[in-house]
Amino acid sequence: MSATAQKNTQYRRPQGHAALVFFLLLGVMPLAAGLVYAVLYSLGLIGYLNTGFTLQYWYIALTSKALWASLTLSLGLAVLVSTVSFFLALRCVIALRPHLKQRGVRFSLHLPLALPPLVAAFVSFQWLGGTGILARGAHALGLIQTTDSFPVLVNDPYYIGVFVTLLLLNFPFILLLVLDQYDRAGITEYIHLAATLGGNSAQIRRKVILAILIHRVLPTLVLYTVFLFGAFEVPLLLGQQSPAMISVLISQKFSKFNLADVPVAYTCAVLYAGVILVLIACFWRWHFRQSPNTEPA
Amino acid sequence: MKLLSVQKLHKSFAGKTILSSVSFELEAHKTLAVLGKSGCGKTSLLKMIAGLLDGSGEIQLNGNFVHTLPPQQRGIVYLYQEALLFPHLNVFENIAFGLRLRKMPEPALREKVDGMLEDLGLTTHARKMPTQLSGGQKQRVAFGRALIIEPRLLLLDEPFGNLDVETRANMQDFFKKMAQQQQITAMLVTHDLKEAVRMGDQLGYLDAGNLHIFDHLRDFIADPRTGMQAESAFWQSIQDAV
Repeated sequence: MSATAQKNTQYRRPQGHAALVFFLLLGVMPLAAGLVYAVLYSLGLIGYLNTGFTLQYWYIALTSKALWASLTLSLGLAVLVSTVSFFLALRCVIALRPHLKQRGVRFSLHLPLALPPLVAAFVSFQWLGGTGILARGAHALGLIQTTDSFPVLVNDPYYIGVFVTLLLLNFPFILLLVLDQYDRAGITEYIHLAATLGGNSAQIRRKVILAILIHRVLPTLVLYTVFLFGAFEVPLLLGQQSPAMISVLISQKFSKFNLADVPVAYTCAVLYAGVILVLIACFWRWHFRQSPNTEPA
Repeated sequence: MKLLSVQKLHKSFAGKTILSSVSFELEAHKTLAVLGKSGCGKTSLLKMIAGLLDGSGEIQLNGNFVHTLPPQQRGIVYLYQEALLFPHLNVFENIAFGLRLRKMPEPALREKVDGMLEDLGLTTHARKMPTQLSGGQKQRVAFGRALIIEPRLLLLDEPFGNLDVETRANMQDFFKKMAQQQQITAMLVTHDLKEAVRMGDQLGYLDAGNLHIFDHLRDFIADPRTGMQAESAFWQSIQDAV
């Protein structure tokens, strides 16, 4: 190693350590402290009404059908929104890539990202509600007799309103991600290569475009799914009380008048964090086994 | 026996002529090395022959017109400067890619890919992902992936341009050996004089969209555009100075 390189490394090391300490203090410690607090609360070790170590809150939480329904609903909806967003984005990029790269179109794709989820939920309510714009439009066109005949799309048992709103919020982000990765991965060259190797259009779409892009965007897509798993404002406004998405359920338990529910709420929060951490750990383990020495997109 | 015949290939883009009535023929099991500076139309020439770029003119392979066929049906493989290994597939699956497109039965596929891995000297690397390979190994895999489908013609667009000097020389030797062993007909474009002379059985020079094919190496050396005389004079002057 040259003297200059050694000097540079010597200067870089303390900076690297300082950055790590800064990250641990501001990024990891508050979250870890919050999680430890929640674990202690769930075990009855802290809290106003707690009297000492107990597993009763864990028993209540783990045997609660509402909690498992909530976790399943949240995970299912998050995976569905991410999957549909990805395939829609892929379809759009394949069909419309030259148009999507135009400056005006590209800028307009960023606009939904500036929309707060609560505002998006209100907009969806205005459009999809029983007396909303779509219902009134359908009534004006004579498609339905009364606005009551309009299908229930908000606070509905199938979470259609929540799905549509999360999709509208999520899709532009995924579209920009896929568009960017399409260019970065040099997909055009791969398509040419696969064509000369004998691949037809369907094979190229499946074995080249889809396979390469999914390989590149999957880590980001999984993290975004985790983010959707904890969605709060949209399901709070457009979802149902039962089953509720996990963040809404935890919020319900925290804000109840019964203070005995607070430790159960903390238990649900710990379970929620645990499920996410296990999912992320499983994903990264699988991902590194699939693609060693690679950085996420 | 003549394998490739190109007649009056023409390409222009935004009013600028890229290729101007290019015509030439290539014998089977021979390598045509085309030398040319950057931007002289080398890549366009190869892409038109592969069917990846539109233009006018006629292309025959084994006496059959192929210029109206899509790339999938020409039996011509185009190799880029980058190895372009599929990042989600390991070495074995990258080499097997073309065979899987043809839905070859698994036992025959395994036997063929294993044989190719042995020829490439990559048997121990079969399960590695592209990120675990060196530049030279990646290029070998790219060659294997192309050769395993037994293309009628191999087009090489500066395939060793990204490699260091030593690996580049090794890959040139490797290609020469494979070309002889597997009776490959290939066309290579490069801006590297030494590479062109080393690799080509036949030599050409592309300048401003015009291709000139040389009958003999001495004609290639005599043409001042190829830079061969300047190169020799340079090394001679070094030797004299020493």
